[in-house]
Amino acid sequence: MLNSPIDPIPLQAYLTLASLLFCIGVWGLINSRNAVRVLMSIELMLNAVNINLMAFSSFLDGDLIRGQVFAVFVITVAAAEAAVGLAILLSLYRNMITVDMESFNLLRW
Amino acid sequence: MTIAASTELICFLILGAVVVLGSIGVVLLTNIVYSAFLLGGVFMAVAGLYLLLNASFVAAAQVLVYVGAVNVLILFAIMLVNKKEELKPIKGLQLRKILSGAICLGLLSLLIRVDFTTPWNLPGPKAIGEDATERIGEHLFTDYLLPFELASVLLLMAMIGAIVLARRDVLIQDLDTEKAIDLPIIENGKEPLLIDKTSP
Amino acid sequence: MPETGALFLTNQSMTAPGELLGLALNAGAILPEGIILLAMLGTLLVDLAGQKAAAKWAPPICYIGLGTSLCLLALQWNGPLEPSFLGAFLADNLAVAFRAVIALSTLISLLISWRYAEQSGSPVGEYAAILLAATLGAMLLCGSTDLISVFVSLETLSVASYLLAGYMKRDARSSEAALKYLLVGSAAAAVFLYGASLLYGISGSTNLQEIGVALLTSPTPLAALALVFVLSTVAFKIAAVPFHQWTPDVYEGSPTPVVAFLSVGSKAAGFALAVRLLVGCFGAFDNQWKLLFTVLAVLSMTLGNVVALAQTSMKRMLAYSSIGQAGFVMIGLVCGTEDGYAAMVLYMAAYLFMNLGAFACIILFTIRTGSDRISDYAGLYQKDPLITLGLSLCLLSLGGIPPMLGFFGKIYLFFAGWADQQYLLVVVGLVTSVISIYYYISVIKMMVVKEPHEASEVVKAYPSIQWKTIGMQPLRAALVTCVLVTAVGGILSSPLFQWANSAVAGTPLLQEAIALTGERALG
Repeated sequence: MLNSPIDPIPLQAYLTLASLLFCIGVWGLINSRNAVRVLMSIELMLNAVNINLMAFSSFLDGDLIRGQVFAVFVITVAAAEAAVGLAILLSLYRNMITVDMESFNLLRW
Repeated sequence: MTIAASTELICFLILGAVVVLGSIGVVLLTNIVYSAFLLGGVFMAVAGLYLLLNASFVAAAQVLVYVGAVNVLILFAIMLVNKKEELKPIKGLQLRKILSGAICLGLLSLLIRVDFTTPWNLPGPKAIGEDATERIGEHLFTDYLLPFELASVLLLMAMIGAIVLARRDVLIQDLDTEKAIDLPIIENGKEPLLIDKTSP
Repeated sequence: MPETGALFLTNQSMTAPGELLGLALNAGAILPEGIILLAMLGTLLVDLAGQKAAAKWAPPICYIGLGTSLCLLALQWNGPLEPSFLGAFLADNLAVAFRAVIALSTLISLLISWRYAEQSGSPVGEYAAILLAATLGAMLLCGSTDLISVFVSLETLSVASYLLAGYMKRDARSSEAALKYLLVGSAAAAVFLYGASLLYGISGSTNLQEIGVALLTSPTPLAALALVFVLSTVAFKIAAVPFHQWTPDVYEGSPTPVVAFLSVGSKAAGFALAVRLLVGCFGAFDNQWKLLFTVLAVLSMTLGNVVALAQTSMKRMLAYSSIGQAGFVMIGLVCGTEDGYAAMVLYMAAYLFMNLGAFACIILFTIRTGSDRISDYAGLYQKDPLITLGLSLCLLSLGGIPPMLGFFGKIYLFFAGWADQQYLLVVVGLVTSVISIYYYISVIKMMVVKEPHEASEVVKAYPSIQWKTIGMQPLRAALVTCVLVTAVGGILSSPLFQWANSAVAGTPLLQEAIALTGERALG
C-alpha cells in the first residue's frame, strides 16, 4: 500500500514511465504522416501528463489530491479536443480527399 | 517483501511494459487501425496504473472517457477517411526521423535526470485512499468551481462547433440579396481553392 | 487569502458540511463573463428559430451582451481586491484592463463579420456563439490565478479558435489552417500541462501564488525545466519567434474577421497569461525568464518585420507584422518597471484600434472585390477614398508615425526600455520600426500614388459603393470608430496614459514585482 514503510514502487518509477510516454508522443507528433496518428500522439502526451499528475497527487498531496482533480479536467478537455479535431479533419478530408500531412500545403507551411 | 508488495510491483511492471510497447506501436505501426486498437490498450493500462495509485474514480473516468469515447471516436474517424492511399515518398524523411529520434532521446534523458535528481517532498501527507471520490467532488464544488463551470461551456461549444463543421449542408441563399451562393469562398486567392470533388 | 480553499479543505474533516456553503465565493467578479455567457446562450436560442431569425437577432444580442459586460468591467475598476472562487480568480486592475481589451476586440470583430459571414454562406448564429465562447475563455484567462483555471480557460479559448479558423468549411485553406492550428495548439497545450504537472510536483499546490512561494526555495533544474515548458506555451500564444510558425498559415487561411479577433483578443489573453505566470509565479527566476524573453523579443521584431517585406498577401503581411508588434510589446514585459507594464497595457489598447481598423478596411475591400493581394490595391484612392484613408491611417499608426496613436504607444515602450537600460531591445526595436514603416508605406503608395491607368484590374472593375445590404452599416461604424480613435487618440492620449498607469498601480502582483526589481537594482 502507499506510504507504507516498504513502498514497492517509488515515485520516480511513475515519473520515468510518464517521461517515456511523453517522448514517444513527441516523436509521433513530429514524424506521423497520417493526421489521425498525429491526434493519437497528442493523446499519448496528455496521458503522460496525467500519469505525472496522478503520481504527484498520491505521493505528495495524498490528502487533498488536487492532482486527481487536475487529471479529471485534462481528460474532459482532451475529449473535447479530440471531437473538434476529428470534425476539422473530416471537413478537410471532404475538400482534399487525403489525410497525408505532407500534402496539406495549400498554405506554405 | 510481502506478497502484496510484490504483486503490486509485478502489476506495475506489466502495465508499464504495456504502456511503453503499446505507445511505440501506436506511432510506428503502418496500419492505422492496429494503432488505434493499441491506443485503446495503452489507455486501459494507464487506467490500471491509476488503480495502483489508489485513484479508482479517475481510473473509471479514464476507461469511460478515453477508451469509451476518444478511442471510439478515433476509430470512427479512421473508418470515415479510410481511402487507401499511396504516400508519396519524401526525400530526407529517414534522416528527419533519426534526427527527431535523437532529439527525443535527449529530451527523455533530461526529463528522467530531473525526475531522479529532484528531492521530492517525500513522504507526503497520508493518503485518503477510498475517500478520494468524495474529496474530488468537494474540490469541484469549492475551489475548482470556476474551471468546472467553464468546462461545461467548453463542452457545449465543442459540441456545437463539431456539428457545424462536420455536417454537410450549408446555407445556400444569401439572406439579403436572395442570390444563390454557389461560390465556395469569397476570396479567390492564387491557389486552387476547392479541389474538384467530381474527380476523385 | 488565496489559499482559503486549500486551508479550509485541510481542516475540513472537522467541519460540518453546511459550512462548505458558507464560504465567500465573490462570484460578482466574473459578472461580466456571466453576461457574455448569457449572450452566447441567447444567440444559440435565436439560432434555433432558423437562419433568418439568427441573422436578425444575433447581432443585437451580442452588442447588448458585450456592451453590458464592458460597463460592468468599468465598474470593477479599482474595486476591492478579494480573490473570488476561493483563489481561482482575481479581478485586479490589470485583469480588468485586459478583459476590456478582449471584450472590445470581440465587439469590433463581430461588427465587421456579419457581412463576411453572410456572403461566405456560413451559419451566423453559431459563429457568434463560438466567438463569444472564445471571448469568455480569454477573459477568464486574464484573471485566473490557479493552474487548473488557467488550463481550462486557455483551452476554451484555443478550442474555440480552432473551430473559428475552420469555419469556412468549403474552403480547403480554411480547414487546413484549422487542422494545423489544432495540432500545433494541442501539442503546445500538452507541453504546458507537462510543465504544470512539474510545478504541481514541486509545490504540491495549483495556486499560482503558492507555487511562486515554493519556487523560491526549490531545486533549480526542475524549476528551469518547468519554466521552459510553460514559457514555450506562452510564446506560442503570443506568436513569438521561434514559436510563430502557425501564425502566417492560420492568418492566411482563416476567415478574415476571425483573424482580426485572433490577432488582438487572443494575443492580449496571451500577454495576460504571461504576466500571471512569469511575473506572478516565476518571480524567483526573474533574470532567467527575462533573458529568454529578450531573445524572443529580438527574434520576433527582426524576423516578423523583415519577412513581412516579402509578402504579397495582405493578410499574410499583417500576420508577420503582428509577430513584430508582439516583439515590441514584449519590451514592456522584459523591463519589469512601472513604466514598462503601463506601456505594455497602453500599447495593447492602441494595437486593438489600429489593427482592427486595418482589418475592417481589408474585409471591406475583400467583400467588394474578392481579393486579398497587395498589388490589387493599386489605384484604390479614386474608387474608394474611405478604405484608402482608413487603411493608410491605421498602417501609419502601426508603423509608429506621429501623431497617430501607435506612435505614442511605441515611444512609451521605447522610453521605458531605455530607462531600464535595455539598450539592445530598444535599438533593435527602432531599427525594425523603420523597416516596418517601409512595408506599411509601400501599401499606401500602392493605393495612393498610382495613376488611374495603372490601377489593377480588380480596382478598375470596382463595384459601386453601397451600404444598404445587411451587415454593411455595422462594418462602416466599426471602421470609422477605429480609424477615428487611431487618428485622434494620439493627440488626446493623456487619459489613456493615466488609464494604463492606474492599471499597473491597482495590481498588487505587479507592484510587488516592481518593488522587488527596484530592491535588486539598489542592492
